[in-house]
Parts: sequence; structure tokens; C-alpha cells
Amino acid sequence: MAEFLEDDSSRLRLGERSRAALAAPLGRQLLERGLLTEEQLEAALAEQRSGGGRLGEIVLAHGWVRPLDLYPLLAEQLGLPFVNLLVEPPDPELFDATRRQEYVEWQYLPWRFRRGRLWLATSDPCEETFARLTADYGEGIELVVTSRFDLLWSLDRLARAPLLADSILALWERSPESSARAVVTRRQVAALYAAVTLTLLGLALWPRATLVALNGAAAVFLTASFALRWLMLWKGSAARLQQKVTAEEVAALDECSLPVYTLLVPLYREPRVVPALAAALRRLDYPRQKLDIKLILEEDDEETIAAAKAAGLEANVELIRVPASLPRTKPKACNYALNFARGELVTIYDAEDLPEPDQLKKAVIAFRKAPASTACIQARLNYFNFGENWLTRLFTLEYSLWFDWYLPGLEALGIPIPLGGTSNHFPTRLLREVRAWDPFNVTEDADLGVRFSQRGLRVGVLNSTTFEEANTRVWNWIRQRSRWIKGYMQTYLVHMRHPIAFYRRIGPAGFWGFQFFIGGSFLSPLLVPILAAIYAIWLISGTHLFDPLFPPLVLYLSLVSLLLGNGYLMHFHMLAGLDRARGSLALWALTLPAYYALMSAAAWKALFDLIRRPHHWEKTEHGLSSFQCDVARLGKSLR
Amino acid sequence: MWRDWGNRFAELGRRAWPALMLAAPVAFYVAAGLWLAMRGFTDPEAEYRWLRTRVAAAEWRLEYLGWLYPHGSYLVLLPFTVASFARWPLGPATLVSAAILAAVFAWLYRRLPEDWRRWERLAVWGGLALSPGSLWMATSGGRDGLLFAVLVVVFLSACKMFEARNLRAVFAFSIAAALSWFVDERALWVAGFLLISLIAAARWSPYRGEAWALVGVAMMPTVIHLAAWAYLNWLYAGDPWYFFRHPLSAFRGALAGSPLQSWAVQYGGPGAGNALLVLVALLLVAPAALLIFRLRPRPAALTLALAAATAATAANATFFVSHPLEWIGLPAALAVVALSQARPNASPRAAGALVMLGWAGALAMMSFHPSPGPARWQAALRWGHRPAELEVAAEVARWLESSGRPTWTDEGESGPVLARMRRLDRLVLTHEPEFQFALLTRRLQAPQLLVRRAGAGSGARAADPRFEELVHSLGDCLQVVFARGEWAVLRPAGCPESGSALGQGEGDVGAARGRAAFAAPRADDDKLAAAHLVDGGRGVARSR
Repeated sequence: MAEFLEDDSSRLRLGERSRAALAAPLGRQLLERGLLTEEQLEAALAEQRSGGGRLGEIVLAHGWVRPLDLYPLLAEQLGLPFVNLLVEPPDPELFDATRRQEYVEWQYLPWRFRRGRLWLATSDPCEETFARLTADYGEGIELVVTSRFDLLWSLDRLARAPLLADSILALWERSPESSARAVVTRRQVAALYAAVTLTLLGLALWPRATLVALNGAAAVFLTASFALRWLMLWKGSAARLQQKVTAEEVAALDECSLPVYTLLVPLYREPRVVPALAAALRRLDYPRQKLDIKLILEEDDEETIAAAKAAGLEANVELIRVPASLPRTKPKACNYALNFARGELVTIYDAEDLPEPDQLKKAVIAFRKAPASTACIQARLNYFNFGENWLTRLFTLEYSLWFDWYLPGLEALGIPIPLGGTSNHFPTRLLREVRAWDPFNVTEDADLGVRFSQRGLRVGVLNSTTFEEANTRVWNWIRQRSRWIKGYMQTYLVHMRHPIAFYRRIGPAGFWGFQFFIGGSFLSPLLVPILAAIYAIWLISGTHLFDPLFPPLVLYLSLVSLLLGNGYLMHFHMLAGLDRARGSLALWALTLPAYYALMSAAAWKALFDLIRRPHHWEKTEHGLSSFQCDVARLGKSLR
Repeated sequence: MWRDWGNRFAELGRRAWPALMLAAPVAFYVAAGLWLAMRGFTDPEAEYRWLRTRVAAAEWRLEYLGWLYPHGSYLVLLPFTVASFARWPLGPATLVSAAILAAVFAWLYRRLPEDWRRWERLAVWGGLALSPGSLWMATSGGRDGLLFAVLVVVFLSACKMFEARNLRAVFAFSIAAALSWFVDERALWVAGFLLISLIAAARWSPYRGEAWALVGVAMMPTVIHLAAWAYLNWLYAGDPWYFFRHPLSAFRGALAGSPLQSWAVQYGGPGAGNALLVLVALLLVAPAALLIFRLRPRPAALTLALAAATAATAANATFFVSHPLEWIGLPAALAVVALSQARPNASPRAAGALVMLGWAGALAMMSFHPSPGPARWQAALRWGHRPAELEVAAEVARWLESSGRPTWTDEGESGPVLARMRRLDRLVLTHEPEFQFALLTRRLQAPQLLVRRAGAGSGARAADPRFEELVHSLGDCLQVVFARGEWAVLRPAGCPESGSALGQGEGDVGAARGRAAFAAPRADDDKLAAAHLVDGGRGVARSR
């Protein structure tokens, strides 16, 4: 039991402590006790001058001093008691679950109540904290120092149930219409039923006209999707000529003005990628003391937890253990971790990601230049193992086209941007306001982008790239792609629950863009095998069976989509490859039909999955690549 | 207060200026085109293009368009088919050309060097917009306006592509190069040579490490379009290379079979003529020299300029053009690109000289031994008279419409009449199933036929020569019910097998009788012309 709780003489006012602290600065004390070398202190002080922040945070972020050495010293310097919350945990009676966000932001927890005074444990014992807490709790408070890790651990232990419930149900409870928990609503079931009935009725009464109408609708849809992609490419290429953030702007950035940045990094059964992840995180060009990195791990994933512990990560990296629960999805894990985010801005990286080092700075600048309504800035994604095999080549071309050309095009056209699964940067406040990610949607990122648009919030695109590991194996690729396509189906169904309201909220460009881009991303690969089969039968047998289904207009549209649509799709991919200075990939675009055949297989799997297990998360296996990206060369050889 | 109003007007003027720069040339070109039409100018080939577009639009059958000609020039006319333009068949083409030229010139005006004074910019701009070459492109009803626009995009994007790493320019260049193949057969040559020259020039581009990838990307749309076109030819004509193999195909040099020779060959025979071609082609692309000083690296610019010159030469030598005026779009496009890329301190005098060169060049081109199109255009411009044959064609069109009967005719031959008809729905043309069936079975169930007598010099051609043979074979079974000028309307006339073709042996006899009957004018009508069906005008050169 902490004896100081019963001893009035040990208590000092904080102002007096501060003066005492000035008399013996922390750096000097760390030096005197042999916890820090002279060089490290100089480097830390230099970093403090350039980037701001506290010295203690800097030395912790570099891993030069252990938290268990620093915090007791800090407490001693300030004349405050130090408590190890793992040994002397907070009183659960004092914990107010409704204030959990405040606990995270202000870095404190109510610890004990003794002799009419409330003792608050904080890892940030400064005047500002004291003043803020005094204003909130009154004069009868006392502070004890604890480590940030202890606070996090205690908060997690005390608020586990409400935090978990929040991470799963917050969106559903507040706005069930925006959640994919129910795949289809009753109205949608009724509409689907009516559509199927009418189609069957039409086939029975007017078979030819109905089949022509269905064929015509497919032809119009595919042609319109192609036209939209053409337009997006053209607009996107114009938007790309305007560099959103230049190297000069990054160089001129005052690091002292940079906000704390939270990085959420979910991992699940990926112990192999932890060392590379640690290296990539260390490469980030951002003041370390302002990085709040959360490795999000499933509680029962002992293997990855062990790997993370063994990686020797610095104190600005915290491990968040997500309680085992359903749905076991990435968005749920991220929602859970978001509760602990301290940053003004937050982003997500996947475990195998290699972001360009200046990406966070670019994102800060982009947010400063963007309108206040900007809720997200999406960085480009690409692959470092692009030359590994046919699949990675095609995958790289596809990603280059999607992130480098299509997304800027969508932004320019005012069409909702389906976010990529990683490297999307948010103001934490706005993200929390919209209840973050939908844990029931397996492309929660795409859904979030559309949800932002519905609320009148903007999504922008950033000229910085995060390199990932492309899937190298066909079945693994199909599983991953089927999840994405299933997610797009979920997103489409969620946002089309009230089509008229949706139209009013995002306008005609957004609405029709959504139909053909999000809708096209799953409907096209579903339709193509059917149409291709008809074509193949006709081509081989020369039958006239299908002739009545193709009156002139339908035939022309079908021909446009067959010849020009497919041809130009190859051309677009070639352009995207050339743009990425990967000319060697350009000719591989000619094999795109085979890649799209895989896409169709994934789409049909996605449809069956949507019916059978809508919330199942097909986990992509990472770390399979034989290519090891040299992080030191990042940004030089890869563009 | 007055100052206030003055400022407001000035502001209004500033805002309206771009619109004015666009609207004024459109209005001028359209008015000029209409004026020329009233003075009797027409071009049978342009009329024929308009007619085919109307037929295709009326039946929603785009495959009728341009098998043997680049179809882009037809497609641009589609929106206008909501009206018949019976009194001005060249109207739609003139409107399109006028709009294209005005748009290009309005775009150019905003890109002229800002250091120039306004009057200097206006003078250069006006000199270019009012040059004889521009007037010809806008008002001749041909495809030169479209060619000009495509070449501007091709050259401009090529320049941008070599200036800096700019994938938008590569995209634009590749698309424009591909489209040019299907907009105009002359552009086919320029784009083709540019694409080939890219193989050599790519190494000086910002993509020097990926030269082959750049060439592949740039060529891809052309390959796509060509493959798609071949596929459609196979689908509809049973031969993927039908568009190229057909003797009348524009893709193989539309004038190869015509009595007109490549213009320069007339000056000293093939050897000296081709040398002259090279010389003139180099002169034509002289404005590209400006680009050489604008672009870095120069070898790339030189390669592109030489490619354009070579293309022009080759196109002439292979009978893709018969008259130098048909190349007016090439130097005009180069001039526009050169002016748009001129440095801020470029001399307006040099630009003025370039424009004057354009005037001189266009006038010189027009003075060469003219082919029918330019000759008529110049005649209408100078003297103006409405040819009697146009009045006759209009009268025949009115008569057919008032007859209330379906009319069978070969649209290739009877284009001038059909173009002046308000409605096409009572026509049975060569591509239609019943017509094709009749040609195959040699049994004609036609209420009436419109035929044209031989040697009329129309410049048009039979869409299906078998029709002429069939009419021959029907001989005396047909009677002339209406005839004006070179046109005759025939109806079945009570043969033992009325409306049927005769047997093969009798057919020859019947044909002879038919020729005799058609050759004799009706006594009660001085205007009635003999309708010879000897060679159907096949020996007549196509006019352009």
C-alpha cells in the first residue's frame, strides 16, 4: 500500500515542484544517473528544438531510456509519488466509463480516494494537466505519476466491456441504416422480390422483349462504366498534374507545429512481418515524440504478440490487445484501438506497409491546405514486389491505375471515393463523430468514404505512396478480392437503402458515379462470364440463337464494351504502369483478360459469401513474398 | 456614375470576350457556307456522306456508315439527322467544321503570347481565321475541319509529350492518333508516320529508359481501333480486311482507281513529280520549324516534323489526295500548334509572316489544276450561279415525295436527289434486305425505281453495281413515268411476268430494249433526258 496516501507532509503544490524541476533539469538528471549518454542528450535536445515536445517523450520514443526508469525519475524530480498501476491498480469504483475519452486525451485516471482527497494518476504531470484537472475536479485532488503504458493497461482493464461494445455497436446503435449488420433491409428484400417476380413474369409473357431488356440493361451498364472510367482517367490525369504537396512545402514545414499523429496498425497472425514493420515505422520522417503508434493485436494471437514484444519497439509504440469477440474484423479492431488514440490526426497502416517517409508531413500540409470539411486524405498505394510473378505484375498495374488515376479522377468529379484499406489519414475528431468504421462491413474503408460524402465531408487524395506486398498466390488473391468485392456489395446495399435521400445528399454526379464505380466494381465481373459465355458459344458454333437478343442499339453498345471497353482497359493499365516508371510492366497489360477472369471468379465467390457468411473476414495472408523490400532504398528506386 | 457604367461595360466585355471569340467565327463561317450554297456550291461526296448518315440514323443502323471510308466524319453528323437539311445538304458538315475551327481558333487566341498587344494578337488571329485555307475547311462541307482538329491535338500532345513527363499528353496523343485513323484517311498517314517515328524519337523523350513502353502505350489505341474495325468488317462483311481490300476503299487510297492523278505527277512525270512532292511537303510543314526551336530536345521535334512531311508525301504519292488543297489541314494545324507554343517574347512580325505564308500557300494550292470540289467552290466564290442540275434534283425529290410510293434506288447514284428529300422512310436502298434479296434472286418487286442516266458526271458512284444490271435485265418491263434532266423514275409496265426479271438469254435482249427505251426522250417533254444505263457513270472520277 502506498504510504504517501496517509502522509500529508509529502504533498507539494505543483508550482513549487516546477521550480524545483527547473533547478535540476530532467536531461541532466538522466545523464547523472547514467541513463542517457551525452550524445543522446544533445541529439534529444536538438530534436526538441526542431520538433518541440518534451524531452522525456523524445528519449522514450528513441528507446534510449526505459519507461520504468524515466517515470520514477520524473516523479522524483517533481516531488510526486510514482505508482506502478500493474502492482497498485486504480480503484474501479472511481472509474467513470463516460469519461474514458477524456482519460485518454488528458492522460490520467482516478486512482484512489483517501482522507477526502482524490488521487489522480497521470503520465503527463505538467502544470496544464494539473490546472485542467483542478478545474474539473476541484481543489481537492492530488497527483501521482505513472507510466503511459500503465495508464493504457489500466484503462483497457477497467473499460474493456464498454469499449468493446462501442467498437462493435456504436454505429449500429446510432444509425442502424448506415450499418451493414443487416445485409439487406425489409424494403430491399421487398424490392428484390418484386424485381425478380417482374422479371420472371416478363420471361413468361414476353420472353424475347424481357431478354432484350435485360441484355440491353447489361450493355448500357457496362458501356456507362467504361465511359466513366475513361472520364475518370482523363480528369485524374489533369488532377495529377497539380502536385498537392510539393517537396519544397515539406522542407519548409515547422516541425514544432506538427500535431500528435496516431498510427493504427492492425495485425493478425502476422509475426513474420513485425520486423519489417518496425523498420518501416522507424523510417517515418516525423518527430518521434509526436507519433502515437498503436499495434492492434487480437488478444488470443499469442504468436504475433510475442513477436511484437520481441521486436524491441520504442515507447511510442503501444500494443492494444483487442478482446476476442465477433465479428472478428479489422474495422472492429481499429474502432477498439481508436479509443486509445491521442493524436489530432490518425491514420491506418497495414502490417506489411512501407509508407514513403514524408507521408505524414505531407498529410498534415494537405489537411492545412484543404477545406475544413476534409475528413480524409487518402495516400496512394502500390506494391514493392511488382516483378515477382504474373499476378503481382497485374495487381501492381491495377493498383497503379486505381490509386494514381482513378481516385484523383473521382475527387475531381465529386464522386464518393471508396477509401483504400490503408494509408487513409483522418482528423481524429471527425472520425469519431461518424462513429469510425463499420465493423460489419468487410470493406469498411470504402463504406467510410461514402459515409463521409453523405455527410457533406470531403475526401482528398495525397501524392504520397505506401508500398505494400502484392499477393503472390492465386487462391490467396481470390480470397482477398472476394472480400473486397463482398464489401463493395455490402457498401452498395447499405447506401442504397434510401436511394432518393442518397441522391439528394451527394448530388447527381456522386449518385451516378457511385452506381457505375462502386456498383460496377462487382456487377461487371459478375456479368462478364455470362456475356463471355454467350459470345464464345456464338463464335464457336455460329448459332443464330442469340441474334434476337441483340437489336442494333444493344449490339452497338455490346460491341463498344467488348472491343473498346476491354481494349482501352488494357491501355489504361499500360499508361498506369508507364506512369509509375515501370515500363517493363506495360506489355503485361495485354494479359488483362486472364486477370479479369480471376476477378470474375472472386466476384461470384463474393456473392455466395454475401449470402452464406456476410460478415466473415477472409484474411489475406501476408509475408509470402520472396521479395524483401530494402526500406533504405524506398522512395529512390520505387516511384 | 458614367465611369461606373463604363467599368461595368468593360467588365462585361472582358467576360464576354471568350464567348465572342467563339461565336463570331462560327457565325461568320456558317454565313459564308450558306452564301456559297445559295450561289450554287455543293459537293456530291459530302452530300452522299450526309445521306448515308441520315439513312443510318433513320434505322438506327450504324453499321451502314463508312465501311470504305473513315466513319468518324459520318458520326459527327449524327446529331444533325433530326432535321433533313433538304435545302442545304452541306449544312450539317458546314456547321460541324465551323464549330471545330472556331473552337480551335478561340483556344488559340487565349494562348497567343501575352506580351503582344491586343491588335497584334487580333491581327494574327484574324489573319489565320480568315485565311483562304480556313474558309475552305469551314465551308466546303468536307472533312478538312475534322482533320485539322485531330492534327492539332496530335501535334500538340506530341509536343507536350516530349517537353516533360506528362502521361496526360501521352494519353491524348495515343487517343488522337488512333481516332485520326477513323476520322480521315489523310490523318491516317500522318498519325501512322508519327507513331512509327516515335520509335526513333522516344529515346529523346522523358521516357528514355522506357522507350519501348512509350511506343507500346502510344500505339495501343490504334491497334485496338484497327483490331475492332477488322472484327466489325469480319462480322458484317465476312472479311476482316474488307475496308482495305475493296477497290473503292479510301483506306487504300481512294483515288487510286480514278482518272485523276496525284497532282504533282502532272509536272514532269512520276520521278520529277515525286521529287516535287517531297519539296512541297517539306514546305508545307515549314511551320514545324518553329516547333524545333520551341521544343527540347530538338532531334525529337525534327523527327516529328519530318514524319509529318513524309506522311504528306507518301499520301500524295499513293493517291490519298488528288489536290494539294486537301492537305491544307496539315500546315494549318502545325501553324496553330506553333503559335500556341510560341514563347512570350516571340515576334508578332514572325507570326504575321507565318500567317501570310499560309495565305500565299492556300492561294497557290487553289491555283493548281483543280479537282471538281475546289473548282466548284472557287466558282461559287467568284461568280456564283446555281447549277441547273441542283434545281432538277430538287424537283425530282419533290416529285418522288408527292408520288406516295416506295422508291427503290441505288443511293450511290441518286445521292443528289435523295439528299434533297425531306423523308427517307419510303425509300428502299441497296443495303436493305428486300433489295439484297431482289439482287440475289433477280426478281424485283418494286413499285417504282429511280435511276440516273449514264455519263452525268455527278462524281457519285453505284453503291451496288448489280442494281444497274438488274434494271438492264428488266428491259421493256419498265416504263418511264417521270424524267427530269439526268433522272428517270420507272415503274413496272405489264410484262408477262410483271415485276420479274427475264431469263438469262432474254435478259440480254431485254436489256437492249431497255436501253433503247430509256435513250429515247419523251416527245412531250423537252427536258426529258435519255436515261442511259450503259456504264452508270463508273468511269467518272470521284470528286472531292
